[in-house]
Amino acid sequence: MKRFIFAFIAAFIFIFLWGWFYNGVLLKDVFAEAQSLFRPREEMMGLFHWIIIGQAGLALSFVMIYASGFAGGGIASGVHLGIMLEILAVSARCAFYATQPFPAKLLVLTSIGGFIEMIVTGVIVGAIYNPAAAQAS
Amino acid sequence: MWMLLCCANSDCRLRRSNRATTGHRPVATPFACKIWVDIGPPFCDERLGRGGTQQQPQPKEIMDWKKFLIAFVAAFGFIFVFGFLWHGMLMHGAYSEVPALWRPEAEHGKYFTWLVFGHILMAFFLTLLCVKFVPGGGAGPCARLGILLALIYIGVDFIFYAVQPLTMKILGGFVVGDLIMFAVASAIIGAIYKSSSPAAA
Repeated sequence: MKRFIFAFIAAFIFIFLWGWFYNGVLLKDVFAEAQSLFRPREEMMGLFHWIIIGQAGLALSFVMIYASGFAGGGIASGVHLGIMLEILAVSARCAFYATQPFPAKLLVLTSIGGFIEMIVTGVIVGAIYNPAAAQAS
Repeated sequence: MWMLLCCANSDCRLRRSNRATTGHRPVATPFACKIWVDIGPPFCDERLGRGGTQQQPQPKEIMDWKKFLIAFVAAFGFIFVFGFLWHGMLMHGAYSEVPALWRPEAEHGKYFTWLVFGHILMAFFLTLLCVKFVPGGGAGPCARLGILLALIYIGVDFIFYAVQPLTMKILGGFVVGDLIMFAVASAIIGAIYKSSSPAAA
C-alpha cells in the first residue's frame, strides 16, 4: 500500500509538471492558433481544480491498472501499459478531430506529448510499485 | 541442435551473462553466423532447471487469434453503435448549446473516416489490453478493467471541461458515456474471449 501511494504521488507530480511544461509552455503558441475552442485564460484559472482532480484521477487509475495486472513486470510492464493507454487516447483524439475543428498539428503534437507522458509515467510507476523488489528487500 | 529446438520454447531465458555457467558456447558455422550449443546439462528454463524437458507454453503466452478477432469486431460494433446513440442522438441537444465547438454538419462526411479509424483503433487496443490484463477472460474481470480505463478517460474529461467551454451537461454525458462504453465493451470482449482461453480452462 505504501508503494502504491508513493507511485501515485510520483505519477501525479510528473503528470502535473509535464502537462504544465508541454501544454502550457512548449505548445502555448500552437494552442493559441485554436483560441476559439478554449476558455479564456482567466476562466481557465477559475476552473483549475478540475485539472488537478482530472490529473489525480488519471494518475490513480494508471497505478490501479498497473497494480492489478502488470506489476510483475517492473518498468518494462509500466512502459508497455503506458504505450497501450496512450494509443487508446490517440484513438479518442481521432474521434475529436472528426467532430471538433482542431488543427491536425495540435493533435499530432499533443499525441507526441501524450506518448512521452505515459511512457515516463509507466517508468515511474514500474520503478516504485514493484512487489518483487519489495519482497527481496 | 537439441538446444535450438529447446530454445524454440518462448520460456527460454538464456542470458549472455550466464553463458559461462551454463556451458553454452558459440560455434562458428559455414553460414557465417554463430549458434549456441550446449555441452553442459541441457535445460532452457534456468529458473526451473528441468533438465531435458520441453516446457509447456504458459497460458499467458497463448493468444487465440480467432477469438481475439471476434471480440475485436464485437467491441468495435458496440462502441460504434453506442457512440452513435449516445453522442449522436441522446447528447445532440446538449452539444447544440455550444455550436462553435463542433464542426459544421456539412463537414461530418469529410471527417467520417477519422471517426471510424478512431473507433477501430480503440476497439483493437481495448481488446488487446483486456487479453493482456485478464488472460482468463470473463465478463466480470474485463468489465472491472473497463471501469478503470473509464476512470482515466473521466480524468481527461475533467481536464477538457477546465480548458474548453463545455457545459456541465456535456461533462456529465462524457463521464456517464465513458463509464458505460468501457465497462460494457470490455465485458463483451471478456465474455467472447473467455471460452477458449487456456487460463480459463
